[in-house]
Amino acid sequence: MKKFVVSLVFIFIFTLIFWNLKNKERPKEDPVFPVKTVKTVGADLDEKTFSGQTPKEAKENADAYFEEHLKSLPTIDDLKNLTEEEVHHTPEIIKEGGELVGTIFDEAQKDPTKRMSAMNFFKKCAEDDQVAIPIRAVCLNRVYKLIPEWEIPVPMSDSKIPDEVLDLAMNLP
Amino acid sequence: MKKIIATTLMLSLSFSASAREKFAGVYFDSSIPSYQIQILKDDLSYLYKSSIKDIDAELKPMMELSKVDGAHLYNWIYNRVKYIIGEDYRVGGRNLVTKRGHQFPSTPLPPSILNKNNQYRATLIMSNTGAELYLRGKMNKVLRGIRLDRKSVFAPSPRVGILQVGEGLFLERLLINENIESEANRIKRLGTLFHEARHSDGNSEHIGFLHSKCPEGHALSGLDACEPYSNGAYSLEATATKTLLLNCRTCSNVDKTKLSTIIADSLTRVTVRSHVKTEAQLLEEIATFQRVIDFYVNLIATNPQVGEPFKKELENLRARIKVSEDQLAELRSPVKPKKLDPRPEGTFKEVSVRESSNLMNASLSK
Repeated sequence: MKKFVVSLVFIFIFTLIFWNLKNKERPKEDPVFPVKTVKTVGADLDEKTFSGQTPKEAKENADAYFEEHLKSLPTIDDLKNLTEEEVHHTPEIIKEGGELVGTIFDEAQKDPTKRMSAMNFFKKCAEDDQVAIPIRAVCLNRVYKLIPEWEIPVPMSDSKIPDEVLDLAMNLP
Repeated sequence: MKKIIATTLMLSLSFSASAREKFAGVYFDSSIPSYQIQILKDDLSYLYKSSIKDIDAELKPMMELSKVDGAHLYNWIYNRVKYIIGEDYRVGGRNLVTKRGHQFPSTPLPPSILNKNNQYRATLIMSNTGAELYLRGKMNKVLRGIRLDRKSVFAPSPRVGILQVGEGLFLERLLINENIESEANRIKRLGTLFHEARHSDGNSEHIGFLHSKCPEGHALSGLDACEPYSNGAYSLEATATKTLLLNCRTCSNVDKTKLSTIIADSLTRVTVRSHVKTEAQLLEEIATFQRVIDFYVNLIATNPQVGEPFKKELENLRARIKVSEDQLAELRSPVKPKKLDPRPEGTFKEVSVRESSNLMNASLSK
């Protein structure tokens, strides 16, 4: 009886090991983000294959996610509600906006898979005429500084970037 | 015996909570909480010891410095800031002192001063009380000053250098990051200090480099938070912050972006920006565009299939670079941007770099 039990345990362990090895040898599935030589901002969103979502749905979800971030940025109207005391030095809401842009930049700098999305955010932020000018300038500065560094092309809509924003962006470190 | 020890302890505690003291020649009033004094002292030490390698091209001419290093930057501050008082210090009542018979320079006052009521005092983060005392004194033809450490400090010039610091300068939610003593937070506070120090400059209609109402179309339209000249407090704050940021050794990506936002915000207050770009800035701008253009040219050459959007972008960038080149050509022609005269008026003593460095070194060696 004892020998029978030992044999059963041995067979069970051997089966487990064999099953595990077999699984390891399975061919890898296609990567979620296929490598391409050229991508435009937003292009990666079309390629994502979120479970149960069509590429279009996935893109819409991602866009909605960025819209939420964009909505958090301070607007020109927000500044109009401030008092003279609050605007003598840089208002708190502008610093908070800078923190959000900085956090997105930092995350993408550390994780290259987030760079397309980050660039998309910077582009939208720079082109949004509702967003406060200093924030737009910081976003545009990031776009022009990061295109050569990250090697991600981002066509900007020239008509959406006023000279003031461009001048400021070019004067930032 | 116990009572003596208890009294001594209580006295020590009360002095440590707020104690007047002098550091590197700057008087810190007892109305400033001791932790704020310590931070400000460390900020000034940081500035003095700073190793400045990268310099914004505008800084040197704007501050009229012969050299840009920690000692010269501290000297610039020290010539404009000699007394710092706390938010709770009331500039009025028994603290206010006056003296009749003082002969003020017979120069005109800034046109906007007559419409202003407590312009500086309304600011909670930091304000230049010295310039305000001088302007009010000159307006009423009575020398004004305040009582500090039982002594009268009069303002015969905006260069008397009395600043009032508020809690806003130290509030956690207004910091760049959580560490109040981080390099990024020091840079932010020093930027504010440079801003306020600029208000100690100017003569005649330029006294105090007063802010003016932001014009129609500006996000802060109607508020006294702009300057229509290129060397005022906002420009100087931006340029000084930028230079310190360029030399920051420990700033994170988030710190850098937040400080860049402050620089951008300060520059939006300068309502003649399109006329104040320097040659170095334009050259940098052209170089930045050129790097992006090079990238696109290479991209199109190696990937001919990329199509029209990138080619159109390339055209846009070439148009941008053309604008910058035209601005550069215009700048090289004799067109001068509007600047205020920073020479101060009234009675004051200009302190040399050697003197201010000696004061700082004496304090640091204690």
